[in-house]
Amino acid sequence: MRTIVLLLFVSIGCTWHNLDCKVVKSQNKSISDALPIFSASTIFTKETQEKSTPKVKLHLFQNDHENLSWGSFIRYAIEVSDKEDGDSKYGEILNNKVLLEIEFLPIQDEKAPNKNLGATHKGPYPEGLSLMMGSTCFACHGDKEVLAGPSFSQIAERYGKNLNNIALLGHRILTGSTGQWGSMEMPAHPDLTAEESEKIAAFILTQGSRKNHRILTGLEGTFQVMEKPDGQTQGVYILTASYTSNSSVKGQDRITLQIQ
Amino acid sequence: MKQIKRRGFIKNTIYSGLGASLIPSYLMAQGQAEMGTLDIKKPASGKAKKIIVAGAGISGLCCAYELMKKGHEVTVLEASGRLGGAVLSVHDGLADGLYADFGAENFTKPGYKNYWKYIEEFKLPVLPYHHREDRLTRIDGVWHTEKMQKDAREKKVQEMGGFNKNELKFLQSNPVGNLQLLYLEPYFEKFTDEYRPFGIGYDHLENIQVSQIYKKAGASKAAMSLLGGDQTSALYSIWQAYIMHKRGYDNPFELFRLKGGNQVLTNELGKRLGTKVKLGCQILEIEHNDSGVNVTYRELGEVKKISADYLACCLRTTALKKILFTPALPPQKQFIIDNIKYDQTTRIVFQARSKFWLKDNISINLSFDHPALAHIWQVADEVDTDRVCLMAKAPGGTNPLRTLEAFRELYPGNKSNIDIEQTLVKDWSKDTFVHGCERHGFSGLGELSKFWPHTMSAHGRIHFGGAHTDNRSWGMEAATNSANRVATEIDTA
Repeated sequence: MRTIVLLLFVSIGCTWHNLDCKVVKSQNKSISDALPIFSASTIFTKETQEKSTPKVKLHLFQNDHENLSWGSFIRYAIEVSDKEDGDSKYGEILNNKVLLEIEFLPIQDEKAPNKNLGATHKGPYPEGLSLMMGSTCFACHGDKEVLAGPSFSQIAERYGKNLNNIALLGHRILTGSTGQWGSMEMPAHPDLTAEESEKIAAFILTQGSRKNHRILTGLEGTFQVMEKPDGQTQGVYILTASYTSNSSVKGQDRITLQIQ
Repeated sequence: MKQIKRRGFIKNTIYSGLGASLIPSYLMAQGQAEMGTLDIKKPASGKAKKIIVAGAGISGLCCAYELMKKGHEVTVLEASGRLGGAVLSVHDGLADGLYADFGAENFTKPGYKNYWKYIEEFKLPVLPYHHREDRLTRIDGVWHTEKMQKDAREKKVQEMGGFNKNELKFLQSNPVGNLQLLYLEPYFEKFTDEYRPFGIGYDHLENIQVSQIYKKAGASKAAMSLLGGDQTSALYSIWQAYIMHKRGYDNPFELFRLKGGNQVLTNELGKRLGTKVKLGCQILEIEHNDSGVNVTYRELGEVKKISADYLACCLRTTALKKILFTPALPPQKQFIIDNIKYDQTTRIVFQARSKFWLKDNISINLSFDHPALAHIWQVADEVDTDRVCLMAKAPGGTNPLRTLEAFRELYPGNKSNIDIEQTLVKDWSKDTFVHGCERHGFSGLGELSKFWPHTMSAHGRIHFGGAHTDNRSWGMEAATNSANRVATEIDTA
């Protein structure tokens, strides 16, 4: 239920500043630089909304609800419902804002509990990932899958994660690039800052090198369970579907399955 | 032979400046064409098969139409709400009857044999398309005419010592763009089937650079520089050159488009198929075995199932990635689904109040060296209005207003003459169902055998069509070729 609170300020200054101080600080600007100055007698209203957590439901379409098989293909769908943003069943949720994270955790000792279980946290996305989801990146790039452009894993394999490569890739994201991975052109992204493009580059290099963790965007699709690694008999797949609302609240659903 | 009576239709055909030898006379005359009957033949096996066609792009529609004509029972499932896929002609939002092809833009003569078959069968009016003529190209910030580029190329050739005797002799009767034929044509005679590059004695050439073929045959340094090929497989180059040669592309060819937009053809196919095409039906799962296929799809939020003897799968691999196949497809086929790449393009249409470039006495066929603008040209020039429609091309993900800004900044004439009044855009990289444009080639060393012939091969009761499954990636030609191949495969299976 949307809650609308109308605030009436007779004396504006400090209350308004308190509401927005986080934004002002992050921009390294003084309050007087960032906000209009109102006289004490000015009267205005502000609308705020109670932030709700998006409801996210991950569905896997397979008969066995507890186990997966090495190398098998799984179809999935993610339902999202948010009081402010809308509902996926009505086409109101953007595909590139819905994420499926797939994390593989090997089980070395069947009797011992897996210490790493739950390694995928419910916290906010890395900033580089959030920026990518708000841009056009995922139209041409996948994490482990090849689309029109190279995958994150291909990029990470070619470029090690260091400051020079982050700066190099950040510059290419910003200004556009062609000829590095075939003849396809990557458009410039002048809507990003240099700092933001470097955050994206850093995320790509980190994520691309994570062999046991992959991300997929979109409300539905398929994925292939990894082939059995040498010397490994069992493992766990942690599947986490998530959506971050326009109010920056993240909702998620998680399914953990044994792989045999 | 069974004949089905169909609703007759009347179409005005308008001829505009085509060579009489190229175009059938009924397409050139102004007047009316009528088609009242559709011939339905008996199936090759004598028994009608039930076939699901996945996708109502040009390939799916064409395949379903051919199968229907061969006497089979077809159902086309299309995820989106429209026919045509990557063939998209837009009229809405443009003034005075102007229109633009946001997708597949042209076809050629010679070539496009199967495509022309439908133009003639449906009596569709064609128009010449001059968007690659008199082009101005911006290189390193300087505008070049075609003659300037030719002069620069010739100067470079001279600086590198010029062509050798054989090359000069060849170039007396051939354009310089065909120079590779001097070295590749001797390999053509072993080909018996343009879909079979392997098994004719050239398999080892897949891992050899085509530049090595030129070098071994004594190509000059200038020719080597012009032809390049250090990163390209010799087998792939020879094969593709053979296909082009066989289809008649060695000589200059002309470009055409359909009057009213290329979607006219897919609309005509759709009209003939009628309610056999089910729009808004997204395929989710495909089960298959030796006797048939079961397809699970979603229609208006409801999950449904349908069974058939065969599946003509005319979806691009970006769509196939989202579909669960049970049992899983073999690794060679899965590799195709995982690894085929498509061009990602944004098409931007500018509507202007006049042919403003004429005031500057320049061509509007322009190529740019700007990240937000690659090319621009005029479309729908036959529409009787002072207004004009310009089509611009940019990489996928480009903001159209940045394209407009780039055009205003770099336009080679007087910028104050530009009278663009509206911008429309289609970014194929963001399309849910048609993600991207033409597929990339398989030209890298050792790459071809990973993709071919598996790209076009059937698997059990599933036959694969779509432009990406043909041996060249030219959209509507490849789509209609593959559609006819799949229809024949299933008819004769």
